[in-house]
Amino acid sequence: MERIAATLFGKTRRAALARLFLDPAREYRLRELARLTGISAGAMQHELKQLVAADLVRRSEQGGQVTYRPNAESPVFDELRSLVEKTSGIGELVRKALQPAARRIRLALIYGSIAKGANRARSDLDLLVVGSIAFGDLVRLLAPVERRIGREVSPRLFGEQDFRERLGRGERFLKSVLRGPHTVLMGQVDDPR
Amino acid sequence: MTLDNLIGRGLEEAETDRQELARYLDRIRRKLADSRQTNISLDSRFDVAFEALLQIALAALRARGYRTTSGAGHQQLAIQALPKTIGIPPGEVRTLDEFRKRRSAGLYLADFEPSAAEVEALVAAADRLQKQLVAWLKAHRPGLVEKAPSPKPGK
Repeated sequence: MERIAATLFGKTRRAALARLFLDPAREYRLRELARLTGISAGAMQHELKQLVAADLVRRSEQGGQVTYRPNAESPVFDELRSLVEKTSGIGELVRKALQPAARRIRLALIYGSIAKGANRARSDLDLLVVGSIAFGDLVRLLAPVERRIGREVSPRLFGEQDFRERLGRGERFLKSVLRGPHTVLMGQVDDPR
Repeated sequence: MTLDNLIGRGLEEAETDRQELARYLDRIRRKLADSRQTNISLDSRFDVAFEALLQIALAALRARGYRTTSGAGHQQLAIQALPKTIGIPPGEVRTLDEFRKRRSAGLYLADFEPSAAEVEALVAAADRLQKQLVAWLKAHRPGLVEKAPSPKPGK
């Protein structure tokens, strides 16, 4: 996944987008963004200028303070958010964190407020996992992600058979998750690997 | 942060005795047994297992000479105190607290229906915790768990 991001975007653009889409509703100042990404302020400024010119990022000025955030009105906002999330954003962080237990995971996806792109700073990251991984192991693997993104990751865990049965009878929760915006990180919904 | 630091902020000091601890341990045992019943719903099993977990955390505080004062956040406080009360690894608290959040979502928002895997995980965690509590009591507060010596027939 990192390879995809590295191919599509230069290092600075990738870092800027990953940070901006970590919390698309949040306003970042230039220096803050530079500090959080480890990119020099000059390079970051150059990057933001291009992103703003393409209308992918919105620049706001309030009380002499300039801030940036992803432009939710952009026609490619959803696609870009999903792409960034999968390749270098939260999705990639979670996917990497779960990698040591990949053999015990048939399906992992992000759903809820973050997948909708309307993630407020306080909301948990909702994650659905299907597989034989132990719940405690799942929480332990996600702990570094929680520290990194500054919010709690709330995993729902289903055994494979239980998941299929619930899908089969159209259970309310799974139906709403799968009908709503979600980002698949591992496996496939139709046929968990 | 020590437990004493939390006095006036969710905890107060209060001595306990063998009878009180025995009541806690009995309830915990019954709830754990109920949580393994497979003829009741997963929701109910989750709830009763969580109550066992919570009472373990509360009993651990009692054994240390504290109790929670009423008010918001006392469940979370009791759970987060477990590394301090009976020495469970701090890394395990996050999992236990996740169960607390789920139970609240189910109880107050009707927004959580546990999966079989989640119920099994909670029941196993509560079961493990109960053993840790009993082991800790035996090692550190034997007076609270040992059977009272049966009165010898007098002369």
